[in-house]
Amino acid sequence: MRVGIFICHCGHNIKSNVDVEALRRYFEGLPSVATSLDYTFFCSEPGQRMIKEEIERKGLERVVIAACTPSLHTGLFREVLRKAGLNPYLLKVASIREHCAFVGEDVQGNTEKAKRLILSALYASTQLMPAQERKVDVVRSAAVLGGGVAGLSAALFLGERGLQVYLLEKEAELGGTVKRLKSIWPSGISGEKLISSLEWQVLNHRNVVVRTSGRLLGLEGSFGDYSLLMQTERGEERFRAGGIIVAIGARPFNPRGRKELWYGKDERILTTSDVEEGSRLRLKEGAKVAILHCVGSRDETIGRPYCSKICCVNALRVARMVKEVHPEAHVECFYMDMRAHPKGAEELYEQLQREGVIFTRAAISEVVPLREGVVLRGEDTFLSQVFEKVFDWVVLSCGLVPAEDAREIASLLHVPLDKDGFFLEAHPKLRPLESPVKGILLAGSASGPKDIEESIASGRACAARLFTLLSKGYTLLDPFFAAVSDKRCSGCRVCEAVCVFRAIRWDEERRKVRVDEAACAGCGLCASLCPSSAIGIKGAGDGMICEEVSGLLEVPWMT
Amino acid sequence: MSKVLVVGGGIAGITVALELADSGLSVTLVESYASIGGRMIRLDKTFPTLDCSSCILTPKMTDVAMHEGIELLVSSFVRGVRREGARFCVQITKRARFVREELCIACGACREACAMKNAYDEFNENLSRRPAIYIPFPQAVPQRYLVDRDSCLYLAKGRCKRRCAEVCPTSAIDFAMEDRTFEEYFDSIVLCTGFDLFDPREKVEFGYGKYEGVLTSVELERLLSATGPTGGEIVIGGRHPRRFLFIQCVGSRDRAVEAPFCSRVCCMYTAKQARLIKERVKDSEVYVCYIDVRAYGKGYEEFYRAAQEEGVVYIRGIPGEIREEGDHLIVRVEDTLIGRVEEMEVDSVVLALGVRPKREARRLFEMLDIRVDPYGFVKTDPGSPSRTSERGIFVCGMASSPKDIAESVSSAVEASASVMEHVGI
Repeated sequence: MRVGIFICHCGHNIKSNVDVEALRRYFEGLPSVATSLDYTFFCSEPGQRMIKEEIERKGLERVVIAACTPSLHTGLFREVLRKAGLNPYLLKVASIREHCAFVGEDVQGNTEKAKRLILSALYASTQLMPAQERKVDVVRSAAVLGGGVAGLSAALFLGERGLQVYLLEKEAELGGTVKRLKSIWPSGISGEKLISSLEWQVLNHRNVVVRTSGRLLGLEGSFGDYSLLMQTERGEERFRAGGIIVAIGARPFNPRGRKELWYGKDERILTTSDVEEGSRLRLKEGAKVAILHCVGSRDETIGRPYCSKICCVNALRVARMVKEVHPEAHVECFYMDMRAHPKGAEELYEQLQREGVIFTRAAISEVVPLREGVVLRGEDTFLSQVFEKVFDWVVLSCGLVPAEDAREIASLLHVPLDKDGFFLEAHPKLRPLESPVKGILLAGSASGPKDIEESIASGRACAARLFTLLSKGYTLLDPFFAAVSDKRCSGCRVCEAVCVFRAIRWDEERRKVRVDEAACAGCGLCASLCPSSAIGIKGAGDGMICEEVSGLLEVPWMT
Repeated sequence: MSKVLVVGGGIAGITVALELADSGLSVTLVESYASIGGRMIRLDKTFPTLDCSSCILTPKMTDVAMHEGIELLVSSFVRGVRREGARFCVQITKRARFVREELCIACGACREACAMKNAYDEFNENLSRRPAIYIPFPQAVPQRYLVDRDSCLYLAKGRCKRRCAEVCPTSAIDFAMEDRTFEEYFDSIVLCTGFDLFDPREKVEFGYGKYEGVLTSVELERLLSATGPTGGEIVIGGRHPRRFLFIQCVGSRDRAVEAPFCSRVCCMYTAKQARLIKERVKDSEVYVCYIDVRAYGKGYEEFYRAAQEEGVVYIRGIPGEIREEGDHLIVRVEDTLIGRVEEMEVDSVVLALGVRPKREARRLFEMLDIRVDPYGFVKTDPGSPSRTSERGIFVCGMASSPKDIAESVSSAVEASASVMEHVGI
């Protein structure tokens, strides 16, 4: 068999920690290797062309690409094979970047490991069989979880494009956090006004079904045909959707968790939301107002090391509100870094400085409510001096934390959360709107704190992406899925219990299992556990696994 | 079928073009440079994941070139636009490459034969030289050569034997080629024109252009890059600097240079570059002078912390002046946290340049009659961040405000939603 080996440098990523030339030379010498090449970036256009030309010129029958992790560019390299007239599934990718070069700087050790990984892929490649993608119909409908500004924007876009939309909100009414805001920065319109226009359109849309006071109970199926079980006011309901948009938002950090801040115990201590939602802030002339930044953010001690992105601007907005009513008031912000980053925020920060708002870079160590005022003790980190100041009001600018039901929903949807408990993106840079599971998208603050404009934008963007995914009416799936031999299946149902994709169904009549090919991800968990060897993955049989292992051990299996 | 014009082939333009073409629209992507990829392809790595920029972008660039629904026009610009009913009649000029794209196989024979080897390589921030016939960078899309008319001895001075044309195996080189202007109709336009960087010469006190050791952040990015002039080694004037000092907010948050706004990306790219230096330069010392560290995005705060843990020293204060002494630089900075003025001796100073609206795009914005903010960024509707003041014209990426890569990608996908609404998908 003529196998081609292509070893990628990945810029310096691989080349600096793996001896790519030694690898190329080693594989050049092996009898089954028809060609062995190395290049800076095989994923680039010249790189792809090199592979294509080698396939054509040398009549390659199998291709092994040693590069980054297979999850990154396997699809792209398959296309190259297809264009060169080779079946796209006659490809093996060896991960010599993540599994070798990124591991450490021991070039010799990394190179040795890379050699074995490539050898393993080379042996396994001989067992590959040509295959075809599976064409699976998709349902032209969508489920949107969460009826805040992101969810409403998404639902409206999809409904307008003619998709059937099911919008589920856990609260009794739509609108989420934004609805409660008196005024939205920088436009100044009220949150209620923004939401009511969206809400009216969604509620009156013939393509959108809205369920409030609802809860997701379960999920079956896979991309293109999900079945969502929901608890709604009408009892348990089931909806079919081709894809799902998660727009469950985030909630403000609850400062009651930090007793030393006295929030909820002393009425002079408020949060920015309290101030914005209705004025519990009763200002007298010459009032002294302190605003504390980063409450519940950038704080390792309470397990919230991340920056919540929106709270510096919230603090500035509250300072602005106070100054508007009482220009003579003493307003002082206590901050670590002033993250006035959105468009127009730096200018607001500047304006407030001109208007006399004091910005003190400080770490607050103590809040002491006394009859004459609330005492703040801390250290001014500019002057390296400890201070004690008395205020009439203390406003806490709280960060955002994941929604209460984030973990539950993530586990029902089988999508991962990040270390902070927000939904994890498929790729933080290039696929910030998608979860790692095809057809499940992430809008608004579900994947991390976002401001209103970003939430609307991400809701609409997710909707556009999902619309494109579903608009053709079908999708193509990889041909890797489990198959059951009826003759061997004893009906023990071990496979059914372990399948995380719920792709294995029990056939009561025949007392055997069968596989839902559309739901099966081809992970192979069932195959590894089946005591009767009755279930296996097409295209990854025992023969191939043995070849792979022999490559890793550097012992040719057949000879 | 509705047709959409996308102006600008950076990450935002690439994303919106692919989204729209995937949804079944016919897209024309116009890029003024000879390759798509924009600013992102010039980066070595991206924060906060330290993904290599080429690895994640080149496949998308190739997708654009291969997509049946996308017509790619590089070395091209919009010359004129007029509205005709609901449509736009757009005049596009494609500058002559002097190499026929349909014939060039990018073999590189011409490059070897070229008599002019000393043209400045703009892709590498002029830190290296290239021939007059060239491909902008190894992963360029399209993979086609072009002749730089300013440095080509034949085109500029009429004095060359044109060996390039003789050696070309496909006779692709054609010095008779002329700029071509044509008209096309579009139903919608998406502006992804990107940004310029602040010109550090405006801040005389930092000595850029005067002292060899003073670099811009983009120059450093090219030096760090595997595809850069030094293959990733940090060499300045033959020396290997060991002590680096970064200055943040150069041309941002600064009324003196008429830029009171925050450029949003410099805090993080500085943290990234600081970490890369720590990783690659043995025994390096790295200092960052800052006002506020705006590590606001997902995973950014943790990235900033990691930089500090790896030994990057953050100094709160922006230096007043820099002077050269022997082969090193003396930076005078007041650390406002400890209230002490210090003179620091370093080998290299890196200026973290802020962003500016794209100068080249100003005329286009005027032609389209769209509103811009006082700095020149496109004004948008807060309820729909891609909508401009004109119907049917949308914007994404840095053209409307400073954004990082992830934000540019999200804004591009949102712009695709707006286009779909406008053309009635």
